[in-house]
Amino acid sequence: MLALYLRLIGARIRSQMQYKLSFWLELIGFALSTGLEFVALALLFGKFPVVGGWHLAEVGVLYGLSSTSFGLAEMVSRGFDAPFELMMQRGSFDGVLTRPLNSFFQIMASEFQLRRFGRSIQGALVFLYACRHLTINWTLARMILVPLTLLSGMTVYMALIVIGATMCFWTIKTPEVINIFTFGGDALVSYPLSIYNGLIRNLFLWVVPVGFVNYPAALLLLQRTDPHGLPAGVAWAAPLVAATFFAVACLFWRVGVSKYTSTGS
Amino acid sequence: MALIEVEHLRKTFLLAVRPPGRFAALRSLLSRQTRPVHAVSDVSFTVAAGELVGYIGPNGAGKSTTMKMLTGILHPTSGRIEVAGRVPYRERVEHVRRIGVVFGQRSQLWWDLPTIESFTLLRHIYRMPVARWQANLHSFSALLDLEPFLNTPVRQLSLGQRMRADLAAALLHDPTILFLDEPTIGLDVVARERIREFLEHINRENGVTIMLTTHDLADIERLCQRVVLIDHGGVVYDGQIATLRTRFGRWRTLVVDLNQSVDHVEVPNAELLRVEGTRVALRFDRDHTTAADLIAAVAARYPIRDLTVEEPAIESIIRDIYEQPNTLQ
Repeated sequence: MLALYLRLIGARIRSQMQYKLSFWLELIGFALSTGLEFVALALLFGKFPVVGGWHLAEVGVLYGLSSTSFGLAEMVSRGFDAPFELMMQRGSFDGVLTRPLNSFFQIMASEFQLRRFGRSIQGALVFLYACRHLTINWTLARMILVPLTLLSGMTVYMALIVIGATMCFWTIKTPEVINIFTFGGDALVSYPLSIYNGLIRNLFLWVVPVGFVNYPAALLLLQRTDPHGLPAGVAWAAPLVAATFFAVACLFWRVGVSKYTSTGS
Repeated sequence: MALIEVEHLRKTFLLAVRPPGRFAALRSLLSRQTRPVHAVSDVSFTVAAGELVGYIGPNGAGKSTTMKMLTGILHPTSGRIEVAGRVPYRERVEHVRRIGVVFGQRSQLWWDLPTIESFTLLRHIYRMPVARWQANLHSFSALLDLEPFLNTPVRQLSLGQRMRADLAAALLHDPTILFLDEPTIGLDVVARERIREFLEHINRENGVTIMLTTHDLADIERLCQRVVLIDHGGVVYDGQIATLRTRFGRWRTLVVDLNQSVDHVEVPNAELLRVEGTRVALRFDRDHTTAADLIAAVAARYPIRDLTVEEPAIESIIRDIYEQPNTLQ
């Protein structure tokens, strides 16, 4: 299955390379535009050096973890994004259903957006920069925690993108509301979760678990305690939470496919 | 046992109804009013292995919707479908592994890649043994003359080339059934004929069962022993083309060339269609009179120089059926 995935993605990248100039322009443009996000964040900290008890470097850890995993998710689940919407409008999802492969797998393997890796590179740079300015006690457990958190974060964002795409089965267009949780979620968790009210905190931890993308892991890494009593140890539950959320998204996808109505003729 | 079994198949879509008046778009977001549309209301038929069946009907009759249910794309609202012992939408992956599908309107190939790369990707998707795949590719290349454009990106192919490539792509994995939705749409006469020859060949020689929808009745006359004619979501005729002609094509046209031009011609049991100088066209009902009697009746009144009897074209028969659906009851 992995071999087939790589083969299909390879075909897709070769297709993209047919338009070389546009590819490079987009890659550079995307890296620059996402880079501006952290610049904006840093400028804010020029005015307020501490937000909710967190300094700029500490917030850099939050931002870096979320941005890196969001970029990875966008890169691999691009097929569920705008190209899928187009597929629904044109009725070309029909073709997917006539192939002897799982439809989820096919959409996943239909697109791969290398340029979205720009967000991850930029996020990783911010994370590394922040770590240099902080004294983190790098135990083995903490070193394992970072990739585990990134993987969980990527899974959570992917699940959200899939949920957005699934709504197309009813609405044809991905409703904008899903961006509240993807782009909005990424922006929201760039600040410590503790600064928000209980409703938002609980929503982004236990309903749409974007909070798990970085906050508990940052608590563990920075040896901080959550003022609202969230134990830092839940950072280790992030993979489980992410996997559960992803399973829900897959289930929703299956329901969506069964409701697929195609287009006329 | 039949290869394809369809029983009381029905597909109802719920169309959103936009309430009239101001802020309609806004209100339609809040309350979704829907109206049921029966694309397919009651369709039953069976297809035996090795048949080549034409599935025809006017626009909006439910042809494509039926095809989409047969290929596992759409879930039926009710009724039963079995194709080679499988329920398409329930065992989609296993089902589509054994069928080939071509949508005339939409290519299934990788748009930006050379044609041969699509074939290679399909080999991996269908997990074809290399030797078998190569043998098939070789045979289809010869039949469809694919060689000249195997290395051309699909987006640069002509419509005829693209359709040939799509046909090959749908057959590379040795399907037992081929579903074709408008395989000759938009093609010129030569390209159409080539596609028809190919379909005839794979049906006869390779034993592939074929079911096709088309608006080109020449496809049907040329290829299909049997047609299933649907209208308003239900089957109106299912049988041999020849029977369709004898049962519904009662009307014949007698065209006579007279020695002198006439204004009007009147003979019993025939209806005057037109007079063009010396040429007169008369329509008659085969059940009421014979061509011989009619010719004799005309000859008794006017001197005849030449004559022809025109069989009804299948096209005009089908047009009659579309226009007057009650002729069948």
